[in-house]
Amino acid sequence: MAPLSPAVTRWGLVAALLGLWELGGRTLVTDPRTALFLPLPSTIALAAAALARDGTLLAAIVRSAGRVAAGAGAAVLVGVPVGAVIATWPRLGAALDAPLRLVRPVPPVAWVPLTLLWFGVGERQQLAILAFAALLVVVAGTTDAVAGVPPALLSAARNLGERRLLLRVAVPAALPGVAAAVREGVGTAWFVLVAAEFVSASEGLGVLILEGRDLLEPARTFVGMGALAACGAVTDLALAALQRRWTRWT
Amino acid sequence: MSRDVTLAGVRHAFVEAGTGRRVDALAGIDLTIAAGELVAVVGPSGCGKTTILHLVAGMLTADAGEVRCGGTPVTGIGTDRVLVFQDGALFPWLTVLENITFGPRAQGRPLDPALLDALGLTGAEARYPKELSGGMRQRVALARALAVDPDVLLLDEPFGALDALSREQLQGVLEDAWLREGSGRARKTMILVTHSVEEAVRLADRVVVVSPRPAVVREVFVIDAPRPRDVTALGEVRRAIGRAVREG
Repeated sequence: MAPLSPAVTRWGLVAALLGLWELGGRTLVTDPRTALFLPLPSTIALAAAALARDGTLLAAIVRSAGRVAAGAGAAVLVGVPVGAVIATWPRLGAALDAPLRLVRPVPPVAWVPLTLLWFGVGERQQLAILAFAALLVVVAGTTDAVAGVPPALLSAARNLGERRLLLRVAVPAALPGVAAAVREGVGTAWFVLVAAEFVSASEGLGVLILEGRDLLEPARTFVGMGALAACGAVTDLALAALQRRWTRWT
Repeated sequence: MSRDVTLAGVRHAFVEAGTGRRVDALAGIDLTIAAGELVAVVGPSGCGKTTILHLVAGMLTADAGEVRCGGTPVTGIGTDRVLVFQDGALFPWLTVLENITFGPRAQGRPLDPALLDALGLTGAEARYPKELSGGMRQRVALARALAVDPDVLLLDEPFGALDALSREQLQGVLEDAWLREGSGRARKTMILVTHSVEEAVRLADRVVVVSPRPAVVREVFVIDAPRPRDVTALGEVRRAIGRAVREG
């Protein structure tokens, strides 16, 4: 028998687990309350179809994707130059090291109360959470990428008569690392989406997820989680493809 | 045009990363390399051989003494003295051709098309450095340096990391194109840092043995044999150099 391809193994495992869940749920769970709280894959699929039909799902995806794009976009616009500056002046980097280390382990959801006080209920507060979380990641990644530009390449370029070292050497040399930082920043924005939409959003995947509890429709939460996972994965695949295209030499 | 290089009483110390200690690398180097001469510098690892090249390249500044090129004091990096790094330091985002054209392009000059052929790089123009073998990478590094047509070529163990066969081939390339009489090219002044006595004897007009850190010139050997050389026939001088290196 020919060995199965990795893709078949991977998706086969997912399908098997879903099948087991469906089968186990149908045969083992008899208590209706448990059945309500732990919906079967088929129930979730039906809920997803219903949410897709009435447009709720698409609207949630569009709203959330827009927030992620805006938050991550702002983080990249600010974070890449800031990271480059920190890497160029190591003393600045050393000074900022301690505060950044202290801030990084604080989960984004912990910023919700303060951002609500500062920005009020609304889109700005959600963007603040997303952008801040992504910013930390983008700054750290860009700093590493720019600091990692081999000094020998800069010396070699000067030796060959090049004066525009930033444009001709530093930027292309740091590009693969910066691209990875951008990708990680966008991933982080998806990761903190629920925290961002926790209080003040009226529509979005995070809202869909939170509504499952309020409406006593856990299937809704599962649909939101699945859609969030899919959105994160699709964005990452798209960015990975762009990354491969723009840094073909790596 | 070839130019001579002189180092007179050159001292250099660097601050060791981590400990912050000052380490004397060079303790007064006196050395003159005539225009068009190839001088090999050999010595134990970590003795400061590379420091000599970086001083001539203007990437480092002497603490005392003077480095001159063609009579003028060296004050910084310049295209008249080009260093070939030990690992090549190729630009990974540029193809072979783009790497080689980097210098000419920066200076707004065209590339000498004969260079690719001379270094056996024809057919590899569109490849990226990561797709090349170590030997090919060093060919590109050499071509990139030669493309700016420097007066002085500084070679920092350019073949050190290669297997014996590639090493032999590249030495042959250098020998055929830039060292032999009647190769049609003006000889460049070259300083070759190497830990291989055999390589030094094969390529150099003179071999300079430096001591362990802090380095001084220990002994100078003149290799007066026609090229291409049969290194096996030069056993005596090889042994003498080997002894000088070991005794420091």
